Amino acid sequence: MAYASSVEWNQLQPVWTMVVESGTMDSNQGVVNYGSKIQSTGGNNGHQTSGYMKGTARGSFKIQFKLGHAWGWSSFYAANVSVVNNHEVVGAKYNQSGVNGIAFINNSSNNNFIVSKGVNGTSTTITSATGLSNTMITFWRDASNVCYYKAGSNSTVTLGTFADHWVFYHAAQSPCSCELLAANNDRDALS
Amino acid sequence: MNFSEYNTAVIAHAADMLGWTKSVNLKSDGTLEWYGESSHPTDAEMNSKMEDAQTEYDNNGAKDS
Repeated sequence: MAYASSVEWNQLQPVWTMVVESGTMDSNQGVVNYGSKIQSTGGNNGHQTSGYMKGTARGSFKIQFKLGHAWGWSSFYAANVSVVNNHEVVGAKYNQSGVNGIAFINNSSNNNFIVSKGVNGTSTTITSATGLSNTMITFWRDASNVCYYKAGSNSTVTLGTFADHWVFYHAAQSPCSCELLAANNDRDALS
Repeated sequence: MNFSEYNTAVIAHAADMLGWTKSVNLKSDGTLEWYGESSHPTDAEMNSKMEDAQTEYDNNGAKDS
């Protein structure tokens, strides 16, 4: 590495960090698979574990993940770094005035997979489909700040154009999970 | 109706006692979040089950799916 800046050290990695457990910490396993999977196994609306993915995205990026398919909503959110706090994880942060974000949620009890975009405080559903089970979702932003996702073998869906500096997180409703499979910034994002 | 005095796991128990097997949660204003579903239990029905649900939670914890 020719040089190291704070931007480079803040590159995305498929690891959960800044984990927040609800209530008291207990013997439930919250982050497993060497940090790549976050889960809540405390029963319906029971003990839950939320957290942030390591790193942020200023420009183009690609993230691949699997949402759990259980009673509670498994989630993966993108929110502007300016609206989140590292001591709390709140699902609604993806949809705040003045910024933009994305929400992916999935469960088995409603059996829904829902993708929404939050634009300046207004949330719009982009996809509402049958719940996904063991399905990889790819979420990326290209060099023109156009964001897309693709779930399994389904067609690619355009989410919109968003230039936000994003952080990514999982806000839990037990039982649920989110497994990170891959995450990287594009080299252009370093400039 | 405001349900904020209850643990969300107790709310899940109450809904289950009423035959509701889909997700339910508590909004920040204390009302119940049914995630856009229709035909869910009413607030009055939920309120009628909260005592039993609290007992179930105290004895057995959150409901296993």
